[in-house]
Amino acid sequence: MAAAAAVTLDRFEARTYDALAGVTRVRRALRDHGLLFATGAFAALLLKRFEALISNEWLASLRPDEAETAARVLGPLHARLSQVLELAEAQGLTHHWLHRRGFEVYRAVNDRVADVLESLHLALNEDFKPLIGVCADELKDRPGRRNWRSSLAALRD
Amino acid sequence: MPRCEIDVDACPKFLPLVNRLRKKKFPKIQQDLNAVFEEIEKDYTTAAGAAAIPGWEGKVWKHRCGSSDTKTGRRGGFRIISQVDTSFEPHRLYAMLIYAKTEKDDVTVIEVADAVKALQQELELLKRGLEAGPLSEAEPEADTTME
Repeated sequence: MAAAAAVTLDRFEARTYDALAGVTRVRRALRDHGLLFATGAFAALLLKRFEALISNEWLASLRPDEAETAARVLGPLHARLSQVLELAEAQGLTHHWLHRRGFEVYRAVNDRVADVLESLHLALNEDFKPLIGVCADELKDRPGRRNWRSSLAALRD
Repeated sequence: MPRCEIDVDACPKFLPLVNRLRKKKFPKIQQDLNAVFEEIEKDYTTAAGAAAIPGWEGKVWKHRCGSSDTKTGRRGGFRIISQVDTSFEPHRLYAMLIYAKTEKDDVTVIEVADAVKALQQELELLKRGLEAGPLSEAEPEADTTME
């Protein structure tokens, strides 16, 4: 399991840098009014390939040192994707018929990256671990299970 | 598609935290949670931005829930932290913690650390019984659907 995770981490790093390079080219095309369609389509392809790697199984298998590496590598990709989406939005390109689908891919991948990054930061947070430990201990003495709908509905002042 | 049954009562912190959020800034939180739990029940591994948290062997998960009070979509809103027990069929998901997320889109280590600190403070307040009153106040009324 650990060996498999290590191999995946290498591939993860390589694909993240590929995706980052692709998104950086898109940023340049947006700034310089360059050839956005071809650059954008290629970056979308790289992002899809990258997204396929960051499964929840992979995420769950990470050791703390690997989680730290993953968070360090993912941060710049998230920042760059957010920047590109903002630039495209400002130029009115996210709704343009030629580019809309590409930017939908960017947004979906950026959402996933944000979720994974948040999860990694939580895992690495020293204050978070004990909180989960306490909650997990409390579950051991769990009462009979109610219907969650009625439990939520019963909340009152 | 791993279906699950959701339990919001097993962890004594979850419902009081929901109640505090409801009183403070999010009066529609119950509706928001209803909608997101419906999705999570169908497949907790993909619904609502599901992400496993490393270090817990795939047992601890994070889901996001949008807020109709702040209308920020799912990047804002709330985060739900749960533990999954796979020895049941369907799996059982115990909602343990919930916290409100800032409205910023960026995810940074500082922002996550701030959210955890805020969550710790909320739990401390609940523990002391300040503001929210005694914990029992936030507990749901007994109902007849116990399983």
